[in-house]
Amino acid sequence: MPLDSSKNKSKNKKIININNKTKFLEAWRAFKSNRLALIGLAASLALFALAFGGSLAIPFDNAIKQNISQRFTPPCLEHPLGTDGLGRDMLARMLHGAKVSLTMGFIPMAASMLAGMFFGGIAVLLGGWVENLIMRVCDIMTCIPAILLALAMVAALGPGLGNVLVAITIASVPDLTRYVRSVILGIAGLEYIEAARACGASGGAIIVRHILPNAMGPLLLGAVSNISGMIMAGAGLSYLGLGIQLPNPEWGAMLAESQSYFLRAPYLMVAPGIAILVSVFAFNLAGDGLRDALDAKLR
Amino acid sequence: MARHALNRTLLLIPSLFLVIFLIFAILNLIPGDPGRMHLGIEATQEAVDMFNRQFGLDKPFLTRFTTYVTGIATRFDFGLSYRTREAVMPAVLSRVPPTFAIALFGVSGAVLFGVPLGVLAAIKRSTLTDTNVTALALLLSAIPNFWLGLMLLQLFSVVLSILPTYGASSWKSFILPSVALALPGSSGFIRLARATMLDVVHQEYITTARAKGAPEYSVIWRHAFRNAALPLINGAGLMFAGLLGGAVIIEAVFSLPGLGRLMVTAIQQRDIPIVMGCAIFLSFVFMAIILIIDLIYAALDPRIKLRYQKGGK
Amino acid sequence: MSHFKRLLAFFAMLALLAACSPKDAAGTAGATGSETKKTVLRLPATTTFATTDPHYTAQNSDYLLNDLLYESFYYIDNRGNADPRLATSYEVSEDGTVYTYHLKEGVKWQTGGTLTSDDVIYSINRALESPYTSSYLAGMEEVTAPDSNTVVFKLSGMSPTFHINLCRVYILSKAATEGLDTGFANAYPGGTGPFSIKEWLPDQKVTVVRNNDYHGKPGSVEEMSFPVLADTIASLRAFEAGEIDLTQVLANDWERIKSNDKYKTSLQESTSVVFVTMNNQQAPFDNALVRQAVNYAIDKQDMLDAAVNGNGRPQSTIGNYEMVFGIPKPGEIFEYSFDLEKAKSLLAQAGYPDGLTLDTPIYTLASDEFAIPAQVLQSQLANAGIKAEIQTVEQSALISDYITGNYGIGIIALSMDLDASIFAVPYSTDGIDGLNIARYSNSIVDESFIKAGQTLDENERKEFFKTAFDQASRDAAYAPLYSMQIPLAMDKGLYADIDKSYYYWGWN
Repeated sequence: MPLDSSKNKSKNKKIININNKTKFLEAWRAFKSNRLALIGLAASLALFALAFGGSLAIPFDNAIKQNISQRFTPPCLEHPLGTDGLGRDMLARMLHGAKVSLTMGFIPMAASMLAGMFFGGIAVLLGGWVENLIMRVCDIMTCIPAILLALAMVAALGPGLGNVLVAITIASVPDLTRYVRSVILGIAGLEYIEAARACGASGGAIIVRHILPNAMGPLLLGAVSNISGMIMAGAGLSYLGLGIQLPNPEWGAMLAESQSYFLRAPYLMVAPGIAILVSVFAFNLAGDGLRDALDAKLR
Repeated sequence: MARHALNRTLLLIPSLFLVIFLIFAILNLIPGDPGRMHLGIEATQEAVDMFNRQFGLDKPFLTRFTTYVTGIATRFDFGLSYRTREAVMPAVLSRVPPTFAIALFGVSGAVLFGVPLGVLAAIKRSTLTDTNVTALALLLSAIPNFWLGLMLLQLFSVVLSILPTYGASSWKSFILPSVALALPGSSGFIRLARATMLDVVHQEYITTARAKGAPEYSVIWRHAFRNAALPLINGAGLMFAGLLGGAVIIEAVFSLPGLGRLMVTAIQQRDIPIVMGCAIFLSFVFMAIILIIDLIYAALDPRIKLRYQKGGK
Repeated sequence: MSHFKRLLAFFAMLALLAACSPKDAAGTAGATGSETKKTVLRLPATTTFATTDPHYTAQNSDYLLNDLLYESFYYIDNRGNADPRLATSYEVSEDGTVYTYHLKEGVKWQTGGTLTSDDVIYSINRALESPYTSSYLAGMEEVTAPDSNTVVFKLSGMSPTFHINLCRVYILSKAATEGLDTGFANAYPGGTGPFSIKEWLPDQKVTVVRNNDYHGKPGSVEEMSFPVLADTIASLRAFEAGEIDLTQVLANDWERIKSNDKYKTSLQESTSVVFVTMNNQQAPFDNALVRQAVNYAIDKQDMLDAAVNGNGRPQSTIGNYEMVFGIPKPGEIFEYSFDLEKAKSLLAQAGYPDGLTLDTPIYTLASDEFAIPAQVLQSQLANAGIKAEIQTVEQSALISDYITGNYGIGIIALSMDLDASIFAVPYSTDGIDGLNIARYSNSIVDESFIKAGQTLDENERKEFFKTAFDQASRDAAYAPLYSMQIPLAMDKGLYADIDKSYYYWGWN
């Protein structure tokens, strides 16, 4: 712990700087040693590469070109993943859908995480009526049925990928805020806060240097474990007219519509299902590794 | 502390009022004509107008809202359903039991299955057990609950014919939906239990307890778990509240006459009184659960109680 | 890496489950309780029951139930065949403005008492006050009862469809119904029908039992139960598990079910027609040439195959010629063939030699029934040079948009039955801002429909209808696609005529 005596201030600053760098290196080393985390990271990068590279390799037309006489063809040489109900090539659709689905899983997660940390953090930090206000607003937002919220957004904003991301993020923020607050209250964060305040640290510094590292672990966990939920939420929203419009492919929508074909063409469920599964695994493993690495740094 | 509890309870009323206002506003501002939705698209315009007039839908928004709220405040009158013309609250409450059942069993199953696994993984951190449990949690989190429900139904009801495929007629009807909710739901608890136990187990008061010579199980369950329990209680309460209104797809897969489906159908048809009734019920339950959780937090953790007593800072 | 192995094993199990032959599945199930089935008929209801008040129902489940509990003067099935029920005969005056019905004597109410003309007067007046039934009595000036077995209706003008519409109004017992609320909350008095309510759990299951005091031929089934199932998928699943006796089958399961010897299957006509609607008052669809081009660009067979596996009938009007009186048969009016070259040349004539890109997207609902034709439409239009996006819209919002004309082009289905006069609304100028969602206007069409309502002669009416539909087709007001057929699977011993009420059904 840095001493707070003015005589040693400049020396302390240097110690702090070295501490930060060492902490970062330590964290990286911890991360590297965790094989699962590395696999997660590698898989995540591979997914992104596939998403953006693959869609360059295969023209978009292949993903939407219909061939009614060839619909429901099982996997074969010409169509390695088969064709769907309109005769469209599943492989092309999977590759082009990757971009959209990964975005829908990743961006709302990151955005709502940040928002949750912010609101949850200041709620605990400031306490009193501010905390009450923030939490009650979260409660009220959660009480409005998701569909109504979505319909209101469609009516107000119209369709489009950007608006879907906004919708999913807004819908996730109350949950994460509440979660962050409960994590901070539940663990020993409070004592760090008291101690930091006693040392004269400002509100902002408290949030960044003390609350964040403690909350980061469970927070990453909470946000990252909801990725498949967000992808499926995106599919559900497009039903209401908010989001990716037909015929553009998207994994969540492809999985949802494969339900009606599951006895006729079970292979249609496999590709999007596995893709979502792999994405969830990849992000989670990487996230877990990050959390464990940061933890190691703290211990 | 008691003052804080009273404060929060009183705050329920304006919060509920705000929720009612917002939902009513949204329902009336989004496009959609209740008359046409209930009579069918092929209905004549005269019939549609007649329907809307009969339910006062031709009056301005504020008039309708005031009439509605006054009805609730003075006579507990939540109006009549546009679809069935029955009183709203009894109709809403009659749909609660199946949803309540699967929410309760789903959450209980998720907690009873997930928490011990999570604690186990925390205790045996970085061993093979830990890896396996984490992988299981990940797998469970990626499986959509409706997909699991469909697979289970196909296996147990169609192929094996040992469980009914629909309805809420016997206790057997609740097994599959509860499992379909509990398994994916447990993933959150596995990882939450593991994470919070890990954090807590390394705290100083645990070391102190061990140093004092307390037996290991006592260390784990009485000291560590008590504090790790708080986020779990939070999670369980929220999952329960969420399932009450949000298990729509599971209710559809298993043809359960639940609250979620009632609300969604009512939204699609613009059966405004029923939507309001469901939303009010769910909001009330949700806010009550939050309040109870917060009070439990205070009860279990003296530091938090202190916060509330001191009024915050 | 044992957890990877575990994962692989899990997926193998999933694959196994998915590939598990459903034929085996159906083979083991469905053979339960073959003895008890004979007296209880179990039929699925795909919406919860709203009410047993026949003047306040609009949904399928309720309609089908009320057919068993109540009656009107005649029972008219989906094909227009009439069966006398509460009336023994009726006469129409020369000028078509007076209808006289003679009531059957000794008809008992399930709630006690006998049917008299008082009950009829009461029921008609009650029906006038309900938005669900008031339109059936359109044109009626007054109703009187000269004696207890006769009822006379005076109309303000001739109306060829008065009789069939009147027969949609059920007669209620004045004594039993007078004190009840509209909608009969928590009460189910029943009427004169062949069945009465045994158990009323509207969200789960409704059971009816044969009315042994029924005035006519007793129903051949003793008891019917209607469990509420969420959708057709659940219904099919319950059927395959042997829990119900009949089900609708989704297009994708049809081949599999048809080839299973355990079941009897049939393909039933329905009045539901899927079509493309274009806003005739908004560019580019205000130009008839563009609308005609759209019609030529469409390959209806491809649409049928993709959307409903071919289980449908291509149509040239938005009504089903097979089921509705007055809709012209194929060949009787102008029809569009699938002709891409013609489409392109029409577009060129309209001023779009290089094709055009639409500002407004193709509107559709998200469900497969509409989303698939929408995607096929997009692709077929693109082949003709018309580029468009697709926009899924929520149901209520979509209907609002169509009615107010807030759209360019879209997919929708309508289901209108019995008589072609009802199509006057979607094709006449009067119907704009109502069911005439194409906002189409042509005085020839308007006049033809009016004239078809001014004569009782069937052949004359058919001619007028032909003129109207022919003109609308030439103008390409809409681009009709196909009517849907309902694939049904049922127990082998069941006699089920889908065009008639359940009363006529039974076990062989």
